[in-house]
Amino acid sequence: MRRMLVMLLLWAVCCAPGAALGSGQGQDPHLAAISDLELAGPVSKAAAAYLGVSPGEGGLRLSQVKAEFLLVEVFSMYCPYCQAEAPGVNALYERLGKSPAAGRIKLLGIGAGNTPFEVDFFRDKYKVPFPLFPDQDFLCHQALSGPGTPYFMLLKADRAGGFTVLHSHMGGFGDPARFLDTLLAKAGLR
Amino acid sequence: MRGFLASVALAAALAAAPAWAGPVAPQHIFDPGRLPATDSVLKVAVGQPAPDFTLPATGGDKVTLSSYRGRKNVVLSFVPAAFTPVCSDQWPGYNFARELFEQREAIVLGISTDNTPSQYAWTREMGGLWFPVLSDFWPHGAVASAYGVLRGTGVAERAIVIVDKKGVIRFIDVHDINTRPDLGVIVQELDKLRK
Repeated sequence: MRRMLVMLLLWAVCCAPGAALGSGQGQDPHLAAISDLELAGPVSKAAAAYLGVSPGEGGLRLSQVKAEFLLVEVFSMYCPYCQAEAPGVNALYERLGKSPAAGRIKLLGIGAGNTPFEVDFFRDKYKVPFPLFPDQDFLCHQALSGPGTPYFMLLKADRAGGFTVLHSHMGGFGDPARFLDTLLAKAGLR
Repeated sequence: MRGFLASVALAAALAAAPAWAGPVAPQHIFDPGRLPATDSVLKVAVGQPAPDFTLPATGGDKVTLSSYRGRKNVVLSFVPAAFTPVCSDQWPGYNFARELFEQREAIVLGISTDNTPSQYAWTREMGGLWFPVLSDFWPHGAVASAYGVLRGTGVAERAIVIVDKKGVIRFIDVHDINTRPDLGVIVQELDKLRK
């Protein structure tokens, strides 16, 4: 019995889904795919200005975003956890804008399996101030090996146009101030 | 010591469990894998009167389609089965979007061929739904069959049928069973009923 419990403990700590995507710096197995994520358009003028890209009907690649650091949230309109987390993510965005990371860490969301209408509805319902992109066919989601949602990745842009994963977190992050502290620490901005 | 280990193991397992897109715990979901997109032949068409039916709801009452005539547009949402991946977030999505239906004077009637106890447990795990969930269990799949959306395996297609206040079918989407119908299309079709 004791042996079984120890095995369960080991599984939970080391092998459970999510553990592989945990917070290990530079250990994310999806690193290679991240720079190639294709974000579906349209890109609004406000989103384009924030991300440093051109507005328009077409989409963009994640690697085109002009940001030193990028915080990506994978969410779904259909996900109650994401709905519950939405005000907290908005608060995180506000805090980011007033922190030492202002202008250095940019935030965007990818709606896994969501159509443009569903992403727009989520944006309108929660008054989401940062750019959201639909991922109707789960292409981005699958490229990240289908993490549970919400899922957050802090990326650092490299000179070759790719990204290094500094931190990843599956599920709600709780207190935005504490999560921001974590992000700043991981980015070396604190 | 054993109690301590059990507590630690349980806490660690819970902490390590991932969040998931749907409200139903992933360990309670049966994944049938990828299925043929559709497996039935429609028996109704846009412009025809919707076949009437009365089915038991999870609330313990019975719901008759024609009782909404003159009052509500009706979105019939047929889904294959309780505790399966796509179904388990489709209806909670309609919870989230409740105002989109109500603004368009529409009610959703969720229908599957599961029996009422299964539907009850499933919808309780979702945290409840604002619209009736109806069991087409017995005679098995009779309503789904009348509409031509009963698959060979005895479950309903993932289908949307919109019925207007006159009881006439105005939209049909027998959707790929493996994917969710676009909420935007449903809203767009409901908007057409306002004109």
